[in-house]
Amino acid sequence: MMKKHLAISALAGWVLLVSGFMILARTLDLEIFFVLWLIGILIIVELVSDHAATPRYLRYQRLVIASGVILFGAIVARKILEILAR
Amino acid sequence: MRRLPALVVSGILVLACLLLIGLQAGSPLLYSPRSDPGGADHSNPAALERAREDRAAQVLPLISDLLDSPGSLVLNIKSGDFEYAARDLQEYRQISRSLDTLVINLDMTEGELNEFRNANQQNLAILTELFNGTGRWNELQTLEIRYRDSGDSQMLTTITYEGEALRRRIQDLYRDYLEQDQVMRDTGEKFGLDTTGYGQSVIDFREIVSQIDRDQHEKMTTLQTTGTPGTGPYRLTLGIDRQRVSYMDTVRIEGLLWEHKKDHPDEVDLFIDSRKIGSIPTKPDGSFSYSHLVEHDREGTHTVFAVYSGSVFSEIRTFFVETSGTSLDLKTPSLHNGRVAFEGVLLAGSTPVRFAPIEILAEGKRSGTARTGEDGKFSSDVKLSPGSHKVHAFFSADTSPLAPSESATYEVFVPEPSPGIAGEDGLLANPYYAVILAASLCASGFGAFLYLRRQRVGLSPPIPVFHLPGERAPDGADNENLPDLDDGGTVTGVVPYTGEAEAVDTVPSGDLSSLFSALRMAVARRLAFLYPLSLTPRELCAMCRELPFRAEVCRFTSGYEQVMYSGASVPDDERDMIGSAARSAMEGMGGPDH
Repeated sequence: MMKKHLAISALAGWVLLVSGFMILARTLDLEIFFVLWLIGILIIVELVSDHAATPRYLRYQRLVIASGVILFGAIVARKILEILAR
Repeated sequence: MRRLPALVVSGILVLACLLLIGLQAGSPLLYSPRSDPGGADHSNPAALERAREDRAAQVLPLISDLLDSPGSLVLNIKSGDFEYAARDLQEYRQISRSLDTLVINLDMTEGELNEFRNANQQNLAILTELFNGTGRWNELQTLEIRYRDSGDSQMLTTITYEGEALRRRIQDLYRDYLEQDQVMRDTGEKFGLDTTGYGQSVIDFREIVSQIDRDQHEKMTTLQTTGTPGTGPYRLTLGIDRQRVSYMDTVRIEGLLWEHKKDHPDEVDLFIDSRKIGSIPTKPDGSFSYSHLVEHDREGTHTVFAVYSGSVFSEIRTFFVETSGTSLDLKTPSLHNGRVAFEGVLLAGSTPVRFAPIEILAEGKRSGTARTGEDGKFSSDVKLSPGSHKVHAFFSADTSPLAPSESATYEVFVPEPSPGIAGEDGLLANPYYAVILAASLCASGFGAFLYLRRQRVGLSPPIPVFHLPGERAPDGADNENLPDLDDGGTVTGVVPYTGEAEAVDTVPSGDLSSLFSALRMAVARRLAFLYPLSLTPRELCAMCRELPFRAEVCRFTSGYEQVMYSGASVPDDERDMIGSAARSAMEGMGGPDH
C-alpha cells in the first residue's frame, strides 16, 4: 500500500476513533474534536513525510497544519477567558 | 481528470459531515431514558425498567455494606478493641460517602433511598460519637484507678461527674440509634438484603449502654457513700427551674454555698456537660444564679454541676433539650448580572434562627452557601451554568436542637451569556481579556511560523545544478549561492544549472555517457529529486512517466542501455539517433513547461 493511502487510512481511523469515544462518552465537543484531529494529522504528516523530498500530496498539508495551530491558539484563548469569566 | 468527480464527492461528503457535527456540537443531546421527555407518549417502559435495574445494581452492594458495617464496629467498641473500631469507622464513613456520590451522580431522588441515606448519616454521626464517648469512658476508668490509689478525692469526684454526663449522652445516642432502626431494616428487607448484622449492632449497643450504666451507678453510689459532695465546712446546692427546654429557651440555674463567710466574695465554677462554662460570683448570702440560653446545645440530656474552690461539689442536675421544628422559606430566585439571587428566612416556630448555615442546592448538588443574620434572614448570589435548574435551600445543623428543613423547589432558567465580543460583557470590555486573546494568537501564529520554517528547511530540496562531465565546477561567487545542507556542507559535483540544452549540443553524439549524465541532471532538477547520480537509465525513464517528453527520454535510455550494456558494436547512425532523442528531451524541458 502506498504511503499516501496509509496516511489517509490512519487519519480516518483516528478521527473515527475520536468520534466513537465522544459518542460513547456522550460529549460531542467540536473544540476537542478539532484539537485531537490536529494532533493526529501532525503525527501522521511527520511520520509520512520524507526527509529528501516532499510528496505532492503533502505539499499543502503544512499550510493546513499551520492554520490549525493558529485556530488552536484561538481555542486556548477562548477557554482561558471562559475560566476567568467564572 | 479522472480524480475530479471523486474529489468533488469527497468534498461534499466532508462538508456534510462537518455540518452535521457542527449542528450537534452546539447542544449535544443523545437519546437516553433519562433525557427522554417525561410525557406519556414518550415513555419507554423497557428502557426505563432497565435503567432502574442498572441503578439498583450499583446501589445495592453499598446498601448491603452499610447494613453490615455497624455490626462489626459496635462489636469492636463493645470488646474495647479501639484500633479495629477506628478502622471500621473509617470504612463505614467511606462507604457512606460513596453512596452519597452515587446517588447524586445517578440522580436518584426516590423517597425511600433518601430516607435510608438520612438514617445512615444519623447512624454514622451516632456511632462516631459512641466511639469517642466510649474511648473517653475507658480513659476515665484508668484515671479513676490512679486517683483512687493516690487518694485524690476531688479529682475522683470530677471524673465521676464527667462519667455521669457521658453515661447520659450515650443513653441519648442509643435512643437516637433506635429511631433509625426501622428505616434501616425496612430498606434492607425491601431489597432482600441480610439485616442480621445491623440487628446485632443494636443488641451490642444496648449492652454497651447497660454496662456503662451499671459501672456509673456503682461509682455514684460509692461517691455518695464516701460523702464527698457537700462535706466539710462548706456545702453547695444546685437547682434548675425547667427540666425540659427547647431552642432559645433559657435555663435558670440557681445555687447556694453554705457556711459562706459574709463580705467575703467567692466564686463558684459551673459545668454543663463536664465543660466549664464560667465562674459565677456569689452574692453576700452565698447564693448564685446563671441563665443559660439554649442555642448551641444538642438535643438530649445535659448535666449541670457546680464546684467551689475545686473541692466542694454540688449534686448533678439535668435538663433535657427538645428538638424544635424549623421552617425554611425561600423567595422566588431572581437573576442579576448572570447570577441567581436567593433570599429567605429560617424560623423555629416564630423564632428566627440566627447564624445558621444554609445550603443552596441545584439538582441536589451544593451550589452555594449562606448564613442567617440576627433576624434569621439570609441571602446569597450563586453563579449557575446556563440552562434550567431546579433549586432549593436546605438547613441542617448538628450543633443546635433544630430539625433539618428545606424550602420549596423553584425552577430557574439561566440564559446563555451574550457572545458579543465588543459588547458590554464581551471580551473587549476588559483590557486584560483582549491582551490574553492577542497574546495567545501571537503565540500560536509564531508557532505556526516556526512549523512552516522548519518544514521548509528540512524538506525542500536544494536547487540542483548541473555541469557536463569533464567541465570544472565554477568557484568563487557562484559557489556562495549554493544552498547549505543540513550538515553544513554544500552540494558537490554539480555545475550551474542554466544552459544545459546548450551543453548537450556541445557534447559529441558518440559520448552517450555524457549525454545520459546531463539528461539525468536535467530531469532530476525538473522533478526536484535530490540524488540524481543514483538514478539508473530505467529509473530515469520511469521517473518521466508523467512528463510530456517521456517518449524521448525512454527512447534514449533504451538505446543507451543497448549501447552500454549489450557489448555489441552499434553503428554511428544509430548512435546519432540516440543522441538526437536526448536532445529532443532536453528541448522538451526547455519548452513551455520548463
